[in-house]
Amino acid sequence: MAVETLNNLSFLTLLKKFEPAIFLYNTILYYEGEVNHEITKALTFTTEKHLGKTNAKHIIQKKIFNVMVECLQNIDKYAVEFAISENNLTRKGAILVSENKDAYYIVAGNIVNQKQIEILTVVINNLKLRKKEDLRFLYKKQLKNGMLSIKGGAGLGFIDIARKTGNPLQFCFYPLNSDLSFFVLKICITK
Amino acid sequence: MEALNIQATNDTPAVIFNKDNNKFEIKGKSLPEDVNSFYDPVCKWLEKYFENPNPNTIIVFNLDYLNTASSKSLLALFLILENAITTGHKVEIVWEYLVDDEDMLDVGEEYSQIIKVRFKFVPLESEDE
Repeated sequence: MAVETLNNLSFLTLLKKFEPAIFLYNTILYYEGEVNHEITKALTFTTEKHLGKTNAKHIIQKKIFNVMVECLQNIDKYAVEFAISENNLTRKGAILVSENKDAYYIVAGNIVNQKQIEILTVVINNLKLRKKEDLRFLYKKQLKNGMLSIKGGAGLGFIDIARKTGNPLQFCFYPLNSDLSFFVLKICITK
Repeated sequence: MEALNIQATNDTPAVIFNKDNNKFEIKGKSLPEDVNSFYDPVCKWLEKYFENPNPNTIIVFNLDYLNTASSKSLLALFLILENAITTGHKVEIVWEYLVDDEDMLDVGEEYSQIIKVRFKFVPLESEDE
């Protein structure tokens, strides 16, 4: 399906819809655009470097880095592709890293199709309200299963995010047209 | 057997496997663009090595960061070590982690519960003051 019409879509507007308050916090980084491996590295290393100069605990800095990598690699691998020109497809996403006095927040957004909505809803809802040990069990199980399939265990990244942050993942979908929606994922890392 | 000597980059760890001086170490960050193209040669080297290994092989892992895509490749690598033990070779894993980095300790502990290889956990001094 052609998605040229979505090229002008502002991801920022959609993220603001999800949680207007998030932009009142201290913004550490906001990015919207093509997501690939080089950009993933640039964004995560920039944030890591910035946090290194603050008094954020080393362990918390690593958690933020970890969550950013998983979110951006998900976009890089799975977001619905855009046609930027006739023969060029690209994957776009948005990521916000912000903080207030209690926590760091990472909000990521990208376009998904109907099938992905179903998978994401099941995978993320399955992680809600699970205790640490439970998530650990699930991670091990998924890791072992991932060995057996080429695609890997679906959702290993989400389990990893859930257990490293210790807070429930929040998410929603904004319908864009009959097939596509904008997926927003919010992660909170307590200071 | 020729040593494997892969320099670290900002998204792949250093890999130094040397049969002659019996030093085996993987150290750094692991979030490569293509996990298979990075880990396949490492696994192949190990498979070849275990055709005729040293009497005792100790592999040191000192990973600062591991993404979930790499964690699957690392499991494949550990299974080679498990196989070597099954065929009668002596293998041990030393898992180094920063003393305050519970997440990295957790990762190591989980592997130690999945694969049948002896793990020794070694906390290193933290970078925090």
